[in-house]
Amino acid sequence: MNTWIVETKGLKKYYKLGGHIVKALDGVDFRVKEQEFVAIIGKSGSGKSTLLHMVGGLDTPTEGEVYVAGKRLAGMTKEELTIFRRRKVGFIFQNYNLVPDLNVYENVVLPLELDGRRVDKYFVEEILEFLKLEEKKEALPGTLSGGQQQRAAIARAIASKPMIVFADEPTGNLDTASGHDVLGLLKTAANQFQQTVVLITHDNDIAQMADRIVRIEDGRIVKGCDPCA
Amino acid sequence: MLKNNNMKIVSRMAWKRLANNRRLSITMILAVLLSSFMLFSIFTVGVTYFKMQRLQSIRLNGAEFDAIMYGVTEKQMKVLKDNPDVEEIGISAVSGYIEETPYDKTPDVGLMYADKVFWEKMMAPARESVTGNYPIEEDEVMVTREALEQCGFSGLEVGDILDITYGVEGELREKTFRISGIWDGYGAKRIFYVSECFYRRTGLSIANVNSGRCFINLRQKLVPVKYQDAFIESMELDKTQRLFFTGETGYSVRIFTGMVCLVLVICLCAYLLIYNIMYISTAGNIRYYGLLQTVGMTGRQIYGLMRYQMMFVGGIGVSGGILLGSGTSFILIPGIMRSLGIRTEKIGGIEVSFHPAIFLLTVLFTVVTVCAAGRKPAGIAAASSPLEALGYRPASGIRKNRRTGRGKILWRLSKDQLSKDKKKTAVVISSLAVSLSVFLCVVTLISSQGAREYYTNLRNLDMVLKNDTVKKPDMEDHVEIFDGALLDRLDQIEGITTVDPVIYTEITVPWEPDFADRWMREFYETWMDIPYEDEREEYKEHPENFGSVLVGIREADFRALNDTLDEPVTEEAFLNGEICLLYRNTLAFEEEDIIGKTVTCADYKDRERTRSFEIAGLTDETGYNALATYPPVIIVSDQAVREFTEEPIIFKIGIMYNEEYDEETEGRLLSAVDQIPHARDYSYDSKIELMKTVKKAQGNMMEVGICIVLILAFIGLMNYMNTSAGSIQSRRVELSVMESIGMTEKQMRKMLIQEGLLYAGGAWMITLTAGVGITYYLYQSANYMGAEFKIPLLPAAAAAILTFGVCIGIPLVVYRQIERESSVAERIKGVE
Repeated sequence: MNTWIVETKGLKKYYKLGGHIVKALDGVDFRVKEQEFVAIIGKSGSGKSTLLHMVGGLDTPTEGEVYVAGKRLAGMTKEELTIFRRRKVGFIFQNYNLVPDLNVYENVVLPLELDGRRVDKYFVEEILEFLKLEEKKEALPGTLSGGQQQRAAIARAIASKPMIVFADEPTGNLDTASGHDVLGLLKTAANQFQQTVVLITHDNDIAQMADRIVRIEDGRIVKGCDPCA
Repeated sequence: MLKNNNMKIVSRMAWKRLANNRRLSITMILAVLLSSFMLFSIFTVGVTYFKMQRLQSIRLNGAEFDAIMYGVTEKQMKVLKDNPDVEEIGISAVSGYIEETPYDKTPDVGLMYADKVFWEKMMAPARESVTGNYPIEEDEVMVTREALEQCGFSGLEVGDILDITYGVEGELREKTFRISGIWDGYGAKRIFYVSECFYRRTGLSIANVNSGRCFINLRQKLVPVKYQDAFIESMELDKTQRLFFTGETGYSVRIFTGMVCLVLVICLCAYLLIYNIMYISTAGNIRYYGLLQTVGMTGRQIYGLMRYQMMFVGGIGVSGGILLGSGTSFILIPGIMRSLGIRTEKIGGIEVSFHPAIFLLTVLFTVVTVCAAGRKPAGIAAASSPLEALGYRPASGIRKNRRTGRGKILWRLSKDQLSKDKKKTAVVISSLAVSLSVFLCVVTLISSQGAREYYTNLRNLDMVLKNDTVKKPDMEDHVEIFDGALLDRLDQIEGITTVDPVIYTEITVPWEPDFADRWMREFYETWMDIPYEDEREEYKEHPENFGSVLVGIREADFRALNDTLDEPVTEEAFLNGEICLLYRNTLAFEEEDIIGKTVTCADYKDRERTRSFEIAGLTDETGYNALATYPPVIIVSDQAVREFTEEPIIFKIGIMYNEEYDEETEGRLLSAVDQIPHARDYSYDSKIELMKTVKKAQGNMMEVGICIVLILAFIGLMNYMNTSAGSIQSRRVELSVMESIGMTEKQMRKMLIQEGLLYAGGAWMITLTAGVGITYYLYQSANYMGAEFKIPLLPAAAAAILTFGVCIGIPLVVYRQIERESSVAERIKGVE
């Protein structure tokens, strides 16, 4: 019995573009342990975001299998996949993607409310305090700085106590100081709440904060595919 | 500094932007196209509709005129001729009546004279055919088939001879006439038109109110009430004369105001439609303009870019809209008419015609609206710094904070969607509400024109049978043609619910100073050429020479009549025969002059038998006048008449059917009445026949009206569909983010349905309050026929179902499409 929280087998994602086939992922075998902090690095167009979308259940592969928390994603209906994402996975995007009409608190508790779960206010307050957002909880996203918005996105990602957090270039729109600050908070929060983090970045310095670095080039993992490697 | 000529690149970029964003471009073009289509087709078909409505009025009036004057002196004629506002003056004159023919003792046919202007110009639009010529010789008549039939003649043609006994000035004469022509069409058809020389020999005068009719056509078609008053004043009418403006002319300013309001509301509808979609579409692309700024495009150039885009969108949209509108107005609608076998070349005699003013209005209005709608987003894009524009979100920056919401999350999200950009929500809801209001307004106006809304009489009876013998001047000729046996038979006919006879008996009203004298004085001043003093003594001595009638009505008639009174009278006192109502006969009496006085009547044959009634009210309803009399027509209860005389005569019978417009019942009824011994001596007013006449006069007005309503409904729906689709498209990232963080398809559907319900509910709230208010105002401003304000339920319910269906369905369909196009990841990435 394996202990991988994320596992892909022969994962392929091909696109048709102007008569050509673009191989975004070309047979990726990728594994992540529970509570591990993995950084996937690669150049622009290397396929790192595509990999994240596949394992996050946001996109479907052309070929291959994805297992997250022991569940085979390909066997799930759309509804099941959404609920699975809501309960087991947290997402952080480069553009924060907060719902502009909801304030910080509402954004953070949105996945919980969508799940019909009772909101643990103390836990949410704790997260907000931890991410230094307690003063901004009633502010609308448009009034926050980039760093504050990304911290709100982290809060949203971890508030539903997911097993795994996928972060797609979370520091891409932030200056260096804010980027390090945000990522430090993400790492600490993941430790505190015992969550696994898969981080996409093209910044080597940021990647150094991870437990393991996976390098991807032209849709293939070229380094660090396995925790034991 | 020299200006750079960079408009070429700006124009190219504008074109490329539109070409590469097909969905956005199509949405915008569709908005402009639909608006211009709506303006063009509604106004084109609308103008046709109003031309048809005018034709309907002409047909129902029997001629085209703005005012009619009863009795006109030579001096007044000169005033009319000298008045530069008067375009045409037509004369018609009562020249007697047909007393009897060898085939019918009670023909209901009059003799009239029409001058050249009235016959050739004013009556022409209401005529469908003429064979022969207008009479020139004294013994010539112009007839209709209906009038011939009334007289009992059949199979006569132009040139044939007919013998009749006619009455004029209280004298009966016999004459052989030759038919000089036969006509058919609309208006009064139970008339024989006579020559001028016949009229001259009758001794009647145009100045006499009982004979002369002067028809006036004004140059201006908008006639304010003040002008009408001044016009009437300029004629210096004596007490006997009357001058009336037709309903359409009398209300012309109000109708015009109402129509202008309706046009403005339709324009507002088009404006909101364009503004909506332009605003939603361009505001959603502010980031793009921010990007352009980062690469060095100036605010002025962004304005230029937007202008070009609007030009392309406006140009294509307006051209398409006008083409589509032309196709609908000139090909589709006439095509539908033809396929329904209604007409071949023309719609109700009026062609749907192109009007340059409509074309110009459509182009001008659409262009102005497109510019106005694009200005604000362009301003936002041009005014913001590149980075701000890149991060622009329509909802942000308006409020800094938002209190944490309560209640169910999906409901809250739906409500937030409406409250986040209140202006946009207001525009979307109000545009839908305006569409719905216009729809309701037009559908109400058009349905009120339905022939079925015209009442034949006070009680809206289905049939009124009339005893024609009571029109005979000699009392001895008055016959009880409707006896109790007939009433029993009518009662038993299947489909008839009520049979109410109205009875009368001839009476005299003896002279007395308190009431009878005052009444007669007023009557002479109003209706007679000779002074009352000349005949006062005769009236005192021989009231039998001034006969009148005592009319008896049943409970149902009384209640209907009582409802028309400003101050209703006591039912019990009326039914007990204590009080009476008098027919006012247009005399200048006020209620307080008469009410409380006593009127006494004496049996015509036995003057010793008298009865007095307290006068409780005056009525202007003409339906209960058995005869035209000098003393008042006294209306009392049926019971009171029967107590007064043993042999009252039924002069009319009011009949109601179980089902309105039931032709089978009417058939059974008429065949029963045709079996009475005096079958040739009755006539009838049938609601079914009136409805058919009015429908015929309307031509295809209703069909054209329905086309307008359908276009409006189609545009209203397309408007919302376009707006709603545009709105969902602009929210695709936001919705995809929700999906990514765990909103299921079911939850998404629920949220979108709730949003749709809020939009539809909001729109209907406005429609049912402000919309109905405006509809009522517009309706009443054009309602010179006094038709009841009634919003037709079926179209309103259909509109409600469609609105809610579209408001709920379209966002779901559009989101489903978005979902199918790409994965959540791709949709989210699309923004980056």
